Amino acid sequence: MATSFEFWLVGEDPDHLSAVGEAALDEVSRVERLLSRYDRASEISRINQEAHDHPVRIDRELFSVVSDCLGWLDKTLGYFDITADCTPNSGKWVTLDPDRQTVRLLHPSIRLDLGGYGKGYALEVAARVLEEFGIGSAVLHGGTSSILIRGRQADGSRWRIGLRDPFSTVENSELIQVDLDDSGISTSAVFHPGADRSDLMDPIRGQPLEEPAACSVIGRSATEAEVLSTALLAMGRDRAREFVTRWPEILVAWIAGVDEVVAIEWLGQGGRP
Amino acid sequence: MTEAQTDRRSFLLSSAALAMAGASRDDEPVRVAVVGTGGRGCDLIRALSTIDNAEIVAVCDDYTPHLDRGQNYAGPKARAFTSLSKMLVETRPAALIVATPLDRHFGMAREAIESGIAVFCEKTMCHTIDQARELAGIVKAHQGIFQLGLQRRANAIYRQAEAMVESGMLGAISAIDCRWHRHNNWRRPVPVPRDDQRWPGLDRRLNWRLFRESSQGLMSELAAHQMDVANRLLGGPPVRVLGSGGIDYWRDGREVFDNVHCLYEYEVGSGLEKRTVRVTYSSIQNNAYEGASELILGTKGTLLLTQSKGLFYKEAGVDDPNWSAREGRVERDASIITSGKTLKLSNDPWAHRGKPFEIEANGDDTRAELVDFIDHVRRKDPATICDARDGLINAATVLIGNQAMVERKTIEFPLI
Repeated sequence: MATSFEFWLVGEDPDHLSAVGEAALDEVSRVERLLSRYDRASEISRINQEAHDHPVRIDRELFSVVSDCLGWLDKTLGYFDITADCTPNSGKWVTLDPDRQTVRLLHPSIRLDLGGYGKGYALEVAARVLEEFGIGSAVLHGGTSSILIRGRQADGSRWRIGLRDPFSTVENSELIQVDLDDSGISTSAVFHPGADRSDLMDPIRGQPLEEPAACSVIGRSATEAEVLSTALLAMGRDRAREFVTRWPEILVAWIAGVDEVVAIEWLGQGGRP
Repeated sequence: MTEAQTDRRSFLLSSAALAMAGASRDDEPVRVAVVGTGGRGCDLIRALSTIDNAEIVAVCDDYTPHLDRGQNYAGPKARAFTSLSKMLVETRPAALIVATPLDRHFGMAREAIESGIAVFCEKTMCHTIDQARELAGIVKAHQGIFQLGLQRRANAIYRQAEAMVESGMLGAISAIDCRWHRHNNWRRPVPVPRDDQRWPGLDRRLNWRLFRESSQGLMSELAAHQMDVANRLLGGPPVRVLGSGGIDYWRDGREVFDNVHCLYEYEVGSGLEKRTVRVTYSSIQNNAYEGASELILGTKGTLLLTQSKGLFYKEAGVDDPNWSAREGRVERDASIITSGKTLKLSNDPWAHRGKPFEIEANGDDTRAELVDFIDHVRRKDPATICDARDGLINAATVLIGNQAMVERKTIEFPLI
């Protein structure tokens, strides 16, 4: 993931907060070691190296993560795709055997890339540690594009999150602020500021996304927000607008330039916060 | 360099061939039980659950939240126990993984070995040198299979480093500098508030690393890994150690030092070639600048080793014709003095390093050490990658470091 994670924890006992924070960060590092495609020692790398030759046995956690990702492929009509090469309908090239707890890649060019899932998942795993040790008020983020909020601030107010202008190279250029408690927020953008090439793909066409846009999803779960922000962006605004009508529990901000002005459109029944 | 790489490759190939021979002997997976399902125990359970010819049949812990987590990672087929003896009697595993606090290692490993069960024990082997000596004797008497969890022995970077040292790429090693520097209080969180009456008991249980009755502190928990690297590269244990340590920063009720510095002396070579190599070990908990690494300093080169990457720097010699003309350096070096072939100096402190040769990791070393262990259990081969004798030497090496710091005197390596 190669992302910086930062946590704000609220409580009375600084030693306790520090110990819980370290334990939560340890979990993030563990998830990173499990899921990173770029770490040769990760379990995903072991799958990518070996699972075309033979079924690869993986642990229960990774098995459920890969199953969940394949489930999202269906739920997003193919727009959330963890196979890195973007072969159309690539989900069918990944098979899982629940009895033997193995994964198999049926096509030699298929590689798994959980980049659109890992950060949200890592935040949820970290949040479980906070829950276990009684911390009910916190903000966790990975690279600021994935955020998980627990509870409210010490004074009872909700946490204020700013959505950045994805096209601006000026730091902290906020488009809008939203006040939230118990939420997962994820933002995906076609271009990062300063980049001339998109690293996001349209998995249906097998082409990089070209239309400059960003999509923020606010939901109950950080993983869901992470997956949907990627998938909706790949769908494009019109298809996304139609898709989210079936997801009343999430808020979706579509951010794009209209006549040189950056504008937010809140998609779906959730409306705006 | 090429020669060393070829040697290493042929070595790795032959060990892979052995592993396959072992796997073909018996199709039944090795039945494994795990005692101690805290953080490290769960790491080991997760890794075991990915190994084709291992089956986790039972997990055991006397702390319910840890037991639940261990069972969750092990899967529904694994039975949960709160008593080791009961688990061993009822499930009769072929192998036991011991990942409990240090003071429990001896009794648990002994019970398993005496029952004919192979043991994989987390480092450090035992809480005292006497216990380690006794356990090594019991393993030998029972011809038991024992492996100590020093995963760097299964790490491709450290294996490559050993081959490089053996082949002479580093020349003569003068010194090794090991450190594990971090910036945190090394505390595990406790699930009840500090004013709760259960807090002191839970703190002792979960933060066992901080108390002398259950831990030997930074030396048993961190130095064991790195001093094993030094012992292997220097071909044996040290002869003596000087030490200085204290509780200097985290004065939070802990009993083990948070600031340790040891200086070990090794005698290497024989006859006229005999010489002393000095190894420093330090671990501090309020500055993470240098991280966890080992620096191997030889007359021909330097190795910087970490678990995820190794770097080899060739030492610039006076006969090296390209020393001053190295790429990108000619213009930047303000002065290069050449007097015959005796002296070359530069004002650039990095000039002698040059471009490093990188050594990459190729897999998770915790998984690799367990694959190796399971294979030895299948083949009933007691020559594991870190047997009980190695474990005893490792325990003695780190525990005399603690003794030197506590007693403030030089401690000779014991008879073992």
